[in-house]
Amino acid sequence: MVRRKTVRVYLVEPQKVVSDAMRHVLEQDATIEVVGTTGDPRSGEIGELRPDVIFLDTDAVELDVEEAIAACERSSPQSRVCVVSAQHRPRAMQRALAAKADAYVAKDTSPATFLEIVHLVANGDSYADPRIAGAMLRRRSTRSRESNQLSSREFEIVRLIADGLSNREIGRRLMLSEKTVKNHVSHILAKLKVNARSGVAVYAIRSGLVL
Amino acid sequence: MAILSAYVIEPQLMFLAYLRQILAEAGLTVVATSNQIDGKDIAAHDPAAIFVDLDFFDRGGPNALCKIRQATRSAAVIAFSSSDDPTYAASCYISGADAVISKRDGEESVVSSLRQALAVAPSAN
Repeated sequence: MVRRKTVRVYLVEPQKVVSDAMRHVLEQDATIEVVGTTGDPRSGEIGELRPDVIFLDTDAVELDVEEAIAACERSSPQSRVCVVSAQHRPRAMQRALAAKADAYVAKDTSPATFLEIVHLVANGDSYADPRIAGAMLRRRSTRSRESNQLSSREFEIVRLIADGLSNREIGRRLMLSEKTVKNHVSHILAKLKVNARSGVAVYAIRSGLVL
Repeated sequence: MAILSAYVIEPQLMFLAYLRQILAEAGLTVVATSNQIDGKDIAAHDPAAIFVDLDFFDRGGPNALCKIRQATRSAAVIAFSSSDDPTYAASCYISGADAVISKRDGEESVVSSLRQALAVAPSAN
């Protein structure tokens, strides 16, 4: 069995009972340690503790999303920032990712998925809630320089990855074999220069591949 | 302490998991959960208490509370909100809440507020 490295998490959550709830769920995973909490993203404690991952509730903090993410980055530049929000509007996700958040997690995400996201982001990958990212990619209205590197088929697969579909499910949807889909996904990752499929939707939104 | 039935309207699943635990400590058992206000479902469960997180309703808490009150007159309705604004709390009480609890409070304070609310709510006695 591969032993996971302990991920040190910091919570920026002004609602005390919600922060208690997040701590309660996160600490059910023995490889996650909640090292601190604050209600203010400008807290000096973030810089002192230098956590691996910061969860930032942008609905509850007093700063706007760009300022809050920038404050976390200034305090602890190596930390990965996960925005947590009740907003399912694509614009809210786009703002957070454009402001360099490493993940956008909707508040109605299941506790089990939350735990997976912590490890994903701590390992250097990005995450965009597939329900919102998929909707954004379906609404694509322009093709950027990056997207022009992709074939129409590859772009179609990017949308389905953003919807959270596996290679097998994409294959069924597009009447392709799983192996063919896997090849397309490898080409997409290489062209977009991302390491994992979870980063494809984030890259697409952040780079303006979709509006 | 008698075990009371609770119906929880809470889309934030991390918070819901924790809320179940807090409610159990306050002597309540969760009989149903929902991420929206479904009047028929509330009436079918006929809970002693309803817990609703008002932060997830675009048109605001008072409107959500009116919909709950249309579904049940007897249940104690306890609302959670991130707002500390007394005017907002007052409008929630007018719209049918028996208690409005701030999510900025910690667990101890929340459990204490729950107990107080249930002690005064007619259906919970």
